[in-house]
Amino acid sequence: MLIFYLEDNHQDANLVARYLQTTPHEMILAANLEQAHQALARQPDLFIVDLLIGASRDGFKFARELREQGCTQPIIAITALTTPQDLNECQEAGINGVLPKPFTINKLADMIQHYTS
Amino acid sequence: MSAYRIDEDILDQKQGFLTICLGVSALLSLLVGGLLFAAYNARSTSVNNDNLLVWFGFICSLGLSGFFQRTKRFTLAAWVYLASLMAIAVYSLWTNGLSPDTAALFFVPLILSVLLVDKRILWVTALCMGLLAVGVIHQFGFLSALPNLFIQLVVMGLFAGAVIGLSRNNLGLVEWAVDSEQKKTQQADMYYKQGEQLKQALSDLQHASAELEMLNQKLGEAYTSVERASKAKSTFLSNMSHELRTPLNVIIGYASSMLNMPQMYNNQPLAEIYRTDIQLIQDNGQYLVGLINDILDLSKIEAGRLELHCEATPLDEVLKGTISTSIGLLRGKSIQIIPDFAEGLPRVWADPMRVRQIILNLMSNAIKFTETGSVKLSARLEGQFVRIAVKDTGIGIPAAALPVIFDRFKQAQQDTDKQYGGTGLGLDISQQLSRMHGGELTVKSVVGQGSTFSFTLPLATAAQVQTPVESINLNTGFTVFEEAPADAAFSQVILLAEDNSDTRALFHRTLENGGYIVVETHDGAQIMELATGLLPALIILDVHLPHKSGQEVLVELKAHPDTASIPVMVCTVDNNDQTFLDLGASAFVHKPVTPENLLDQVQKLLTTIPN
Repeated sequence: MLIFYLEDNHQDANLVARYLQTTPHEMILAANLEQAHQALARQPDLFIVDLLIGASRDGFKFARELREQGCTQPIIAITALTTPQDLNECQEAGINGVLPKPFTINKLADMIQHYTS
Repeated sequence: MSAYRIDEDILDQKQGFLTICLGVSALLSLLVGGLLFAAYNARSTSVNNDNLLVWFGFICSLGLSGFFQRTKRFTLAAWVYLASLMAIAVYSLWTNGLSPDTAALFFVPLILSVLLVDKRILWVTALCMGLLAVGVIHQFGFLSALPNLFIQLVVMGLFAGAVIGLSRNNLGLVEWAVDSEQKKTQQADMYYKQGEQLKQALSDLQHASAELEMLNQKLGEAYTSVERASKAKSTFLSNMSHELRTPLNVIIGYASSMLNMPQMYNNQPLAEIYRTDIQLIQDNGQYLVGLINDILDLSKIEAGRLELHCEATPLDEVLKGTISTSIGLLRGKSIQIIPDFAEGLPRVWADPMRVRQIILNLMSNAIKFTETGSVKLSARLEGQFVRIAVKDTGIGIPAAALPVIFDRFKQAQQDTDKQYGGTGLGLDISQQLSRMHGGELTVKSVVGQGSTFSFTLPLATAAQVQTPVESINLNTGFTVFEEAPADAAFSQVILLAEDNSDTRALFHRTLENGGYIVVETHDGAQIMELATGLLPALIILDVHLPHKSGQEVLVELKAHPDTASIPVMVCTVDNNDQTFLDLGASAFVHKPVTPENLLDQVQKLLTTIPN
C-alpha cells in the first residue's frame, strides 16, 4: 500500500518512515501543502496528516480538500493537538482516526495495521 | 418624610402658644399702665435727658445681645437684652420716681421674659412687682417711715414674696404651660434631629447606591477580564500541551522503537545494558504525558469545563480492568493485589473513564507507598450507593497531614515527594471527580499500618439502566488511538514462576510484547499467595523452583477453589508430561523455546480456554 504522510517535523517523519520500512508498505512524505498536492498524483491508499504545519492548521485544510474532492481513502491525524475541540474539528474535517502524540511505536504499528489490513 | 410634617406641626403649636403669651402680657401691661395713669392723673414728670451714659450702655448691651444672636446663643442674647431693659427701668424709677411711663417700662422686661418661656419668669415678675411696690410706697410718702435702703429692700422682698405666694396657682399654670412647651420643644427638636438623621441616611443611601452601581460596573469589568484571563489560560495550556507533546513524541517514539522494534535497527537487538536505561527514558516520558494530562484535567475542572459522560456502568468490568492495569504498575514489587468485589454488582450512574481514572490513581498511590503486603480493591453496596475502597498496608499518613493531602502539590511530608515521586495532583483530581459524581473521597490511615481511600458512586435508576449508551466513537467510526491504560483494561495477566533470571527476562519481555501483563516470581513458596491475589489468566510454572517444587505448587493450585480453574503451563526440560497432565496441567513449554513459539502457545491456550 502507498501511505501518504504530511509532516513538517522531520524527527517524527523519520520515525514513521523507519517504521514503515519494516513493513511491506511504501511511504510518500510531504513537508507542506504544496508537496502534499503534488503527491496526490500518485493516489495514496492511506493518508496520515499532522494537523499543525508550521503555525497554520494545514492538516485540517488538506483533509477537507481531500473530502471535497471526493476522496474516500482513510485519513488519520498524528498530532499533538488533543483537546476535545480539536478532536471534534477532526471529525468535521472528515478525518477517520487520531493517533495522539506522543505515541509508542507499538501504537503506531497498531494504527497502521488497523488501516492497512 | 412623615417625620418632617410632625416636626412642622409642633413648630406651629409653639408659635401659637408664644403669640397667646405675648397678647396676654401686652393686654395686662396696657391695663396696669392705664390704671396707674388714671391714679396719678396727668402728673407731669420731667425725664432726665442729660444722662446719655445710660442710653449709651443700653445701646452697647443691645449690640452685645445682637452679637450673641448672630452666634446662635439666643437664650443668652435674650437675657442680656432683658437685663439691660431692667437696668434702664430701675435707673429711671430711681431718678424720676414712679410715673405711668416708668411703671409701664417694667412691663417690657416682663413681657419679654414671658417670651423666653422659662421658669425664671417668676423671679423677674416678683422683682418687677417688688420694685413697683417700693416705687408706690415712695410716691405716697410712706418712705420716711422706712429709715434706710436696707429696710426698703426688705419691704420689697416681702412684697415680692407675697406676690409669688398669691400668684402660686397662676404660676403653676404658667409652669405647666412652660413644661409642656419645653416638652414639645424637645419633641420638635427630637423630630427635627430625626429628620436630619433621616435626611443624612437618605443621602448616605443615595451615596451608597451610587457607589454600589460603580462597584457593579467594576465587577462586570472584572468578570469580563477574568473570563478573558481564563480563556487566555486555556489557550495557553492547550498550546503548552502541544509544545510539550511534540518533543515528548521524539523521546517516547524513539525509546519505544529501540525497546520493541529491532526491525527498525537492522534486527540488531538492543544490548541488555542499554535496555533498562532506555526503558527509564520511556517511562519518564510517559510520566510527563500523565502530568500534562493531569494539569489539563485540573484546569478544565477549575474552569467548570470538564463534562462527565455518565451512563449505567457495569462496575465489575471497570474494577477488573483497573486490577489488571494496577498489576502492570507493580514493576517487580512483591505486593498482593486483592480484588474484593462480587460479580454482577448493580450498575452505577457514572462516567466509566473518570471512575477508572479515580480508581487507578488510588491504586497507583497505594502501590507506590506500599513495600510489602497487599493492596485491596473492594466494592460494597451502601443503600443507594456503591462504596469503592482501596486499602493498602503501606507507610500510612500521619493524622496531622490528613487534611492537606487533597491539596494540590502537597504530599503528606515534604520529603515524601523526593522519595516517591509524584506531583500531588492525582488526589486533588480524584477528589474533584468523586464530587462531580455526587460523592466525597475520604481517607482513613494509621502510620505504619496503611491507608484506606474510599468514595461512593450512585446506583443507576431503572430508567437510567434502560437508556441506551451513547457512544460517539461507535456511531461515527472515529477512532482515537489512546495509549496504554485504555488497552490494558483488556490485557490478561500471566503469572510467571521461573528461577532462571535470563529465561525469566526473556519470557517476561516476549509476553509483554505480546500484550500481556506479566507478574514474575522466582520463589515456589510465593506462587500460591500471588495466584490467589491476582487470579491470573495463566500461570507459567517452572518445574524446578526453590522452596517448593513445581509439582507441589501445581497440586496446591488445583486444590484451591479460587485457582483450580486457572490454566497452568508447565515449563520443563524433562519428559514427564504425563505426570503433570494427571495433576491438571494444561500445556507444556519444553526448553529451549523461541520467543515466537512461546507466544504462539500462550495465545493458543488463552484463546481456546475461556477466561
